[in-house]
Amino acid sequence: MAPRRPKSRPRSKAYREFVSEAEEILERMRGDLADLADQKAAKHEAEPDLVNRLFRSAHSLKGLAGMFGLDGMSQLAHHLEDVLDGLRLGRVPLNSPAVALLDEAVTVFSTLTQEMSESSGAAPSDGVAAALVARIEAAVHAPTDARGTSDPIGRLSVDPALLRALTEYEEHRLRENLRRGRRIVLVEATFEILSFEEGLAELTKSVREVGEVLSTLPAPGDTPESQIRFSLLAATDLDEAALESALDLPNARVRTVGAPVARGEDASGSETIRASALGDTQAEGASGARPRPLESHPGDRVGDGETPEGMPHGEHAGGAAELESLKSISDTVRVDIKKLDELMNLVGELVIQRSAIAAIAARLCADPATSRVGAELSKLHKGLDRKLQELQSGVLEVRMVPLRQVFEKLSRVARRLRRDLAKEVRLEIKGADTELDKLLVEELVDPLVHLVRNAFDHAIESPSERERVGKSSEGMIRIEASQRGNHVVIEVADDGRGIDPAVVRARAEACGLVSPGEVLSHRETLELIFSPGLSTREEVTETSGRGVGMDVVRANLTALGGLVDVDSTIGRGTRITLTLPITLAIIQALIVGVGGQRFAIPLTSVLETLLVEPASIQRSEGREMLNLRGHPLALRRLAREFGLPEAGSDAKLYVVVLGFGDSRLGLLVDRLDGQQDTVIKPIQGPIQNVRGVTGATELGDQSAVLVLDVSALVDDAVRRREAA
Amino acid sequence: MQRILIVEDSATMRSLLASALIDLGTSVEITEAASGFEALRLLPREPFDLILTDINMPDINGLELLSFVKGNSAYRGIPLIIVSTEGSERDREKGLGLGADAYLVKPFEPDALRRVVSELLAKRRDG
Repeated sequence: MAPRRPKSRPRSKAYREFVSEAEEILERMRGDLADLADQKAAKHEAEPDLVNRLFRSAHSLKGLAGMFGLDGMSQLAHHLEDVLDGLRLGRVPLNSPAVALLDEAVTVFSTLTQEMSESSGAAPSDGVAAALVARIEAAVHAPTDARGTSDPIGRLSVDPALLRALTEYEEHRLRENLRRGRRIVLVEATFEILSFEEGLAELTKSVREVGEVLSTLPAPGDTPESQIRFSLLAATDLDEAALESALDLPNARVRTVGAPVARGEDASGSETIRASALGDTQAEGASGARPRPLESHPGDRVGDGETPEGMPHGEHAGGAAELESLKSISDTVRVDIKKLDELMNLVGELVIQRSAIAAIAARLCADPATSRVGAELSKLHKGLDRKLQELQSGVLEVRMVPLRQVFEKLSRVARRLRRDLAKEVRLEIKGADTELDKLLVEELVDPLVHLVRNAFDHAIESPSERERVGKSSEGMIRIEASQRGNHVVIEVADDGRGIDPAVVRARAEACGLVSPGEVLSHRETLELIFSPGLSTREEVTETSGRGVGMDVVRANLTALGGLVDVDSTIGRGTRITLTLPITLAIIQALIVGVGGQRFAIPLTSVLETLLVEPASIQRSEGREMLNLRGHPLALRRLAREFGLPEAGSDAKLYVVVLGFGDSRLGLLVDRLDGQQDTVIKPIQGPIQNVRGVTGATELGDQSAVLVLDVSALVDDAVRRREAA
Repeated sequence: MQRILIVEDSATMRSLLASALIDLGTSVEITEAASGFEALRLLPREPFDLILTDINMPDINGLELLSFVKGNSAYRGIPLIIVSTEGSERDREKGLGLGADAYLVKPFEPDALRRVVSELLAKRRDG
């Protein structure tokens, strides 16, 4: 039979296995990287086990990719492994660029893996990988050799056999713990060979609670045929007595093999760090005098000494030289979003002062005695205005991040659900480049995860059920983001069973949300799913969690100044649409006057303004309506909302047409006072919770006005229609 | 018939190793262990003639397994091949120092793997 070379059989079963195992590994790495970033943020260092697990993941990827002749992938994994090896051996500092680089590498890996699975075996384009490899290569170099003359490991009173079986990483952990002045102990326990795992797991767990397990060495027990003895080398801050009482296990023996060194005593000086990355270790290894058990044949990757053909080996040759740290590779800066908020506030205040200058200039221009000064001031004001606009959009731009991160999180959730629920679901994502204010993006995670879970759990039918109704066995969830003017619209659509309005209605009646005789449109009925306390499936499943329903999704969105819409067809699927403003930081507002008061309305929600005769306002079923180019537009009088005196019944009125999501509402006001840039500030005190008000802002003349919460007003109007 | 134990946490890698050993020419039975612990449990149950082990594994590493095998009079004679992704030279030195009979670097050529395995199996048969 011909020699089996996996690389020549890209479509084989092994190849498919590889893709799915690679996906699994990457999934785990993503989780671990998230933890790593958290730990870095919290403690500026990472748990050794975590870094080591990441290292092993990269290591496995490298091995797998290599076996399939995927050079680009294998190279990338190899370099990724280098970074992680550097991290776990303490050669590379755990800083933001390092974490970012790892993140990026995992993303590129995912892309490559996906390309492979889609093209069922075509070698993926390695260009991206190569570019990243070059960057990692520039970044990962070891600091100079700090190997001391006396290795503290040599001073441990422990069986040399145990030390011989330590991997390089385990040696590093041992030294690191010695350097930190921890007590090194050997915990020994004997178990029945056929059932050792449970007892050993228990022992390991107890040791982990008081320290770090450095190594687990098995050895034959007293009766070698039936028993096995484990020696756990561990590091702890406890003294021997405290340790023994903490490890109250009948068959375990604890012995100190390395007493803590006083911290003043130079423990760090004897710290041994392997100086080099991979390349030159090979060079130094070749000179090692040790038996070679098998003759290696030229070209074989057997035994030792030969650098395997075609494998990267030279790129770290300069590794011992003075090398850059990871710090220099990235020219990005991470900024706390709060600092950007402060900047934004400052810009906002400048904008308001600019408006004040404009007002003064206008006054000066109007008076012939000062019109020349006024004209000069006006010119200055225009220049200031331009620069301020640039500054404003610059700061805004910095706050903008693509939705990609959130969407990647959703893919992860989807992968996990696919596994847990045994449903075949394809997740399609579009518009990941759509940008949104960073704060909004973070607040969107929970609602979106909830929607995806809902779709998986409730909407998409089981494969057999789908086939029964003539659908493909694989369900589909499509998430699509797009920018529409100053709003971002995110749609989460599925091709599942759809929402049955009759079921929703029945549940709503049972909960007392709707009275039996009430007439609701299809859409109004569907909107009931956003009401608190209504779940359309009686049983609450683990996937969607308990007590968190669509009402929370709506509440979240409303808090962001957004809206949720739902559309669904039985048997065909459901589409949930989230609409939200691009940023909350600074808005252009339309200033309106009513009953001697002024209000600001975010311009992003204003579709148009109209001047109407009172006679053109129609009344139907107690609601005021306007015929707007053949379509009925529900009206609300702003004066009534806030209990202000209304204009005379024959006075002309202005209608501000508000649009949010798919809803429209005409707001009747007495006058329009122009547009202004405003910074919305939260309100404190008694009017804090008044519905319909989202905050306050200061105008150019330094008077404060309330900013209307358009989504709440529109929402209320829709519900009032429902109730009527 | 000779028995081979493959110790490797990657399922793909296990099946690659196993499929490379099907064409060995002599009759072998392959047992797969997904972890060092599993290998420790399997060792007393079957008389293995050869062990192939990875180094980086989640529970005990390949060197620790090796140390156990070579430190145990019952298993000392079983040839052991480390099949590890090219990585730390130190780990390889250690492996050979602890008594590994061969050290193969991933990615390995199936031919090279078969050659080493055949040699060691033949030695075991004859010795």
